[in-house]
Amino acid sequence: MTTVLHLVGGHHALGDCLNRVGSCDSILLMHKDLITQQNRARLTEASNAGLSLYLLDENMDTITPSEKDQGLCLQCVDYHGFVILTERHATTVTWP
Amino acid sequence: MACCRLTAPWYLADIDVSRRFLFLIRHPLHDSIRGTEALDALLTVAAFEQPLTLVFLDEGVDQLIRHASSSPGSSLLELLRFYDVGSVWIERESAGSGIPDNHSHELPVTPIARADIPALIARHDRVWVV
Repeated sequence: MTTVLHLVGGHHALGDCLNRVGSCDSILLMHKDLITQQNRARLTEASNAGLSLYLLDENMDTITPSEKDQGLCLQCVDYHGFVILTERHATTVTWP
Repeated sequence: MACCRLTAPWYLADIDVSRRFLFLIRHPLHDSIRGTEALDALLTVAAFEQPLTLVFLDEGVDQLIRHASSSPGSSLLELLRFYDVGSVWIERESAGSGIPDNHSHELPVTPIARADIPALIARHDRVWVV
């Protein structure tokens, strides 16, 4: 099955993306600011549903083991990891 | 309105460069710079005769509903018909009861369930979210 990488940049975009994401897709959050209290519940729900969640953190050296952040399974990636993710997915969708 | 058609030179005739493009239109195209850019990209894709699919959702459905009540000749769908745009969808959950009637001078608009959008995305090579 074709997997899709969703790049989420805006607060409103996150909800729009989560409403239309496939069960095997991945979501890369482009900003830490997206992890608000309001969004955390939906992200946790998405994580529990099997979606892979990533956070772009330019200070990280590489993809690290999953970070358990108050129940939110989130992997931090740097720009190198970002490139690897785009290679691993057939399609990339940017939600501005 | 003049319609631009680009023909590939003979030495490119056997090369398949077609990509399936999907535009997810969340906002009216004329209300922002980003929307205008997307409209330019959309018409460029259409001018190069690449397979093109449009889905109107969220606030983007206003574009269809607003234009459905406008005079003939001013509709976005009527414009797209000249470019042989393949298929136009409207998300059922976003449109509610406001799904516009299909007019003979416009492209037909087909409702699609929100649950089917991921499969539609996966079937395209390039996806542009507005």
